[in-house]
Amino acid sequence: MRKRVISLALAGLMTMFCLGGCGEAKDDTTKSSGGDGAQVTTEAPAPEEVSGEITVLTHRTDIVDTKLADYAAEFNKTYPNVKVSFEAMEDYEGDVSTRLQTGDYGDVFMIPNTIPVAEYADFLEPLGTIDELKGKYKEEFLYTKQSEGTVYGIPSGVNINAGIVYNKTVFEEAGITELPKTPEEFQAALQKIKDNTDAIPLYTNTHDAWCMAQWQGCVSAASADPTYINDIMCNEKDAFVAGKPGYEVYKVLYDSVANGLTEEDPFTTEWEGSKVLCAKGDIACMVLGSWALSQIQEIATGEGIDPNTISYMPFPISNEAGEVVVGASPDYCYGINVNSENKAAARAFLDFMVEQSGYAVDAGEISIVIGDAFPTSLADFENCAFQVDEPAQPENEGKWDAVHNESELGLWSGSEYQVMIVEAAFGNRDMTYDDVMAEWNTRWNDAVDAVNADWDK
Amino acid sequence: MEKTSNSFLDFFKKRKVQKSIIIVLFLTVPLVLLVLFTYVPLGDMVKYSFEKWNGTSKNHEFVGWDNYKTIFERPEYLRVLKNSIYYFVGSIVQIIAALYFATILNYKIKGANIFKGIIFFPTLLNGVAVGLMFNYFYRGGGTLDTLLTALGCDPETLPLWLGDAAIVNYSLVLVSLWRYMGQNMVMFNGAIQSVSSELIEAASLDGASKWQQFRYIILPNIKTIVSLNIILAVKGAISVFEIPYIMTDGQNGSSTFVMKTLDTAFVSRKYGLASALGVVLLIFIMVVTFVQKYFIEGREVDDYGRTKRGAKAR
Repeated sequence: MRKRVISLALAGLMTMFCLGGCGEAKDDTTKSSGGDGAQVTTEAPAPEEVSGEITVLTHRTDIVDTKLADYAAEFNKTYPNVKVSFEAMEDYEGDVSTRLQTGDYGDVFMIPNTIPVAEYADFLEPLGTIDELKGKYKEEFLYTKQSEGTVYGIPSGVNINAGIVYNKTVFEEAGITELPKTPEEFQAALQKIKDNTDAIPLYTNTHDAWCMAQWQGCVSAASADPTYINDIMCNEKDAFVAGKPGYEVYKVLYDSVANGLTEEDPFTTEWEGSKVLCAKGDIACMVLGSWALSQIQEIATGEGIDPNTISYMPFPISNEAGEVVVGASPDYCYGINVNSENKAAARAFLDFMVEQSGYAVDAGEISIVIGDAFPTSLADFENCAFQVDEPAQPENEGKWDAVHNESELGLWSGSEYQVMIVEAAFGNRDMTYDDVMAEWNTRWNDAVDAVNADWDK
Repeated sequence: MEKTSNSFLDFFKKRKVQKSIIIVLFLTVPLVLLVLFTYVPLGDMVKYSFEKWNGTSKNHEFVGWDNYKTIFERPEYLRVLKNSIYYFVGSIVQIIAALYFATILNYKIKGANIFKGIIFFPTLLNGVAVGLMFNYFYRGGGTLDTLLTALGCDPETLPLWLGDAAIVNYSLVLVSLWRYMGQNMVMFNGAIQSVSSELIEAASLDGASKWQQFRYIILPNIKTIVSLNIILAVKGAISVFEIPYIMTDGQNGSSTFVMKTLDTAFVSRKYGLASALGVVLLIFIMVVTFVQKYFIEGREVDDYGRTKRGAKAR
């Protein structure tokens, strides 16, 4: 047994050397046909001319032998002379980060987030400028891995940060034909559900405090400004007065509870049970991240209900143009190893994965290619404006967290201050919504002052 | 050479030396554990309480008494201590009930052991299980509501046991009472069993009622264990954590001092301030314990227990 393992390992090693050798041998041909990496983008050679062997590093250990292999087979129909092999890693981020220094990190790989922006050019092949690519791809997602206008990585798909999981059957029963776009329309829709069905219109899940934190995910999009959280709010006094995103988002929660459109006893709710109730149509909707959708759909399937009746809609706050804005975050980006010997083949495969494979939609994510269909579960997002938060300017780096921690508001952990909104709306506190927000404001203002006082140190 | 090694061995063969070696060896292990896991962290906590630190950063900024000033200047930290009053009153009720059960179960009653078992059983349950169980018990339309409806209460008039800020603390204290009474009872029962039955028999022959037997014979004999339980009850009331944490997570004003400390450290990442809260809690408990010892055990008992024998004889 043991001998076998050793001989297998040896055989593996030998093939690796062999592959390496082959790659080197073909080096010259690729270079002469493809020319300099940066130009590959514009003048792509004919598919038959592209040849070589490429290794693709991936974090998807779950589908490496199934779906990914199918994509490669599909790719070979157009590019018969490229041999694609995959290497999947459990601890992708850690393993690849270690391999970066050796230069041996495949030809196409998912860019680990450990590479600093300043070092993109040392590790990654440039894929073109934003101006060149924005004709094909949705521009707002191209800024994920770029440096001074040059794109180094293309997102494999895009996730929605926060929204509302809802039961379509209940919405139809209540007579809601168009999804609400503003807080007022949302209240009206909830009222319709209360009047026309037996379902609980909105389930707050207050007892499981982390569910309160899901609302915070909607704040950034409500600002309709990708720099709001990281550059503006962290320096802002009175961040919780009427008109500010932090105020408006949580007002939806307060109003829903105060208008009696939520569960009867929010303080004894139970998360696992709420998923079943939502699947069965006893709950009309819940504010959650997109990760929750598949969980509830799974339960619906288990209960013998069509999982497509459980859907996901954007949080009902619109920008000035009347579009609903949705916070989105790109998934891992594809990149090409700057040391790759088969850059033309690598680029062909990268383009294929982004544009033709259907990988994003298969993974339940939004494709970044303009004109691509949305996955069925996210169909309601088709006409929304997407917003990807920009990283903080150097002088504000880490400031939002610092102010937030100093304020003790705990907005990402379902803190007592978030629960305070439900308590006040429920009548358990002698406070109006503005009283709660005034307390938040005081805390936030003090925190901004305190952080500013020793920020420059 | 041989001579020295012999004398060396002889030295170790001495009974006295061996005795002290064994004592030192046996004491080392628990002492090292005690110092390592209790006093070193305590020292660190006191040190952190004078610093501003986020728990991970390399810089610990020394801020002097600032953290302590914050605790006493901002009302939200000490405000939660008022919830301890509920638990303290609850634990006094708990001790009285436990004493009552321990005493009557000490007399010859049919099925005394079964009753003891039933009362002690909740103590064996895991705190999380208790929390979940009572969550179902108290929720709207849950076990308690069903029971009361069956007894003739109008379901419309029943309050939300955990959802009403005026009731939530009583509901939680009841759970705590249910859970910990058995433990007190077993301790009291053990103490009562050590009271000489001849004394009780003689008293009953002299015509002493059950109350008089309890008041003048049983209670004085188990005074130490009662006072110990009261000290533990106060400590428990100030540092109550498990039940409100699992059942309500501090919602509706049921938060406690320890929960506030945890949030300060792990949500707001203010380890310095949280450490200061920990030190304040420690001081509170120490003060309360000393005051209590002073009043319950009488003035003549000093910290060294020198007059304890005298006190007992009296």
